[in-house]
Amino acid sequence: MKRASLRLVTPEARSDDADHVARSARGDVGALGALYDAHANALLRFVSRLVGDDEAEDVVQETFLRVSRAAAGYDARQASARPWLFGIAVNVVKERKRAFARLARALGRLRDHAVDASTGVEAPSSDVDRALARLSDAKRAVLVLAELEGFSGDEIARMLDVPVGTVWTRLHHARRELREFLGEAR
Amino acid sequence: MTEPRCTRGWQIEARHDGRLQGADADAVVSHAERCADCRDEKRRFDSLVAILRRASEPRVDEMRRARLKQRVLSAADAALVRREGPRPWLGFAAVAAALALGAFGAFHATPSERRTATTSVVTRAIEGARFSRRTERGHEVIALVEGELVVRVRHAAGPRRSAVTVHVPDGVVRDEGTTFRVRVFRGHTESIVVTEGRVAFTPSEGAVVRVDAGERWDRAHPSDALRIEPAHEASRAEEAPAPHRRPATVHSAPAPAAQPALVEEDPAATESIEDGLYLGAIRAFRGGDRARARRLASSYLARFPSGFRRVEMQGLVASIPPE
Repeated sequence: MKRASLRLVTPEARSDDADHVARSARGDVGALGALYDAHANALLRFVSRLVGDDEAEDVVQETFLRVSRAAAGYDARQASARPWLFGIAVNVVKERKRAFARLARALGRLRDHAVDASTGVEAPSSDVDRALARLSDAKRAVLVLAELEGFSGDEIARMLDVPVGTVWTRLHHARRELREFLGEAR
Repeated sequence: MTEPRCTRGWQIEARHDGRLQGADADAVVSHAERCADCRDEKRRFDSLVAILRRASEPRVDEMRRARLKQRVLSAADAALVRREGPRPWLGFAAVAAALALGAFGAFHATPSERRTATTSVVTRAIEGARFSRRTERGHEVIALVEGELVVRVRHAAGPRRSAVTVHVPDGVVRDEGTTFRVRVFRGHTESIVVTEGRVAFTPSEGAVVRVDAGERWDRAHPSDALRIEPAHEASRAEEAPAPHRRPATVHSAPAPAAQPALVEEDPAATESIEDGLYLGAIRAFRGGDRARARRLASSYLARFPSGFRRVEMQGLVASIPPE
């Protein structure tokens, strides 16, 4: 996770993000567009890893639509709005999963056969993708944020609104499960 | 696999995560050099990290990103309008007004009608047609990808007339106060039949063709519009203006096989035309056909003045001198 400390965020970027978030909250769609331009790629990549390509766009759209509502909770001193946006995205994913699970349960009651509501992730292609898909959402989010997105433990804790100790624990368990699964797969 | 005997194995992970820093982190490194268990743990840990980072990177292409941006901004815009819209106490009045308008529309309008300030547009799609509609800067833009569409435009008296254009894969049909029918087959405009007013068809390649009431433009005879026998479109023939200046080659315009059926608008239609033009221009440019690249880029800009690729297309047009 040392990569996190290497991310370069210029003072200009800092003020831009804070400004764009504030203007978005006032209904400036152009500012929302600028925020999108700066972070959409990273968000799409991240969310695709969490929920798969098909659902990622809906999650990212919802994430940006929540910017104006969530702006009051944005700390303008943050180096970049990206961790904050990732945090919103994780919440959107959680809510969608809960809704999906409810729907699946309802469908399961309607039909006689069970519907797999354990995950909304698309069928993954490689061993690693399969291993990631087997992790719980919470562990997968932490692992992707730490190893693939390069966020620090503190940043992840703020994003997910959990104590940093929880981040370390989830990360440790995620790695262990991944190791076990990859060991089985080989 | 035997369990490691060294109790400091966890420090490998802690150092990686940044929980150990400075002298503590250095101590882990020097310890691992001497301790076989920790060396092994570090090797396995590094290998896991490497595998993870080699995991397939989700693909985020520019087109997808740009399209999503449009979705996000449109939704944000719509949310804003709702937020700034009428207060709840106006709800009943709004509902009543909407019902009254709806009843008026149902009485007067054929399906799929939209009204702008001074213009009403009615489209009927023959079954299987793929098209989309949107309003761009107050103008009605219809994108027809495949199939047949009947468009009826009514311009009411007023200071502003909204332009109505039908974008087909190989050109643009511009209304000039009209009822007309456009047919696209396998990516090419097959025919344009005008029963009222006039349309201007601007193909991607070639000169503008004007098709007047009672005429038909046919791909098989692209050089000119052809007269339609009055018997066709019988119900509208009486309303059609007097004959025209065009050569009077009599040509049968086939009557529709069945009553046109309404189909769903296809939101992907506009996108596929936009993508097709952009990609076509790029392909032509890379293939060395600069004239074609310029034509397609110009066509893109004409149809999608605020398209995602307008900057690239402007650059392309600017970089290729006209023939």
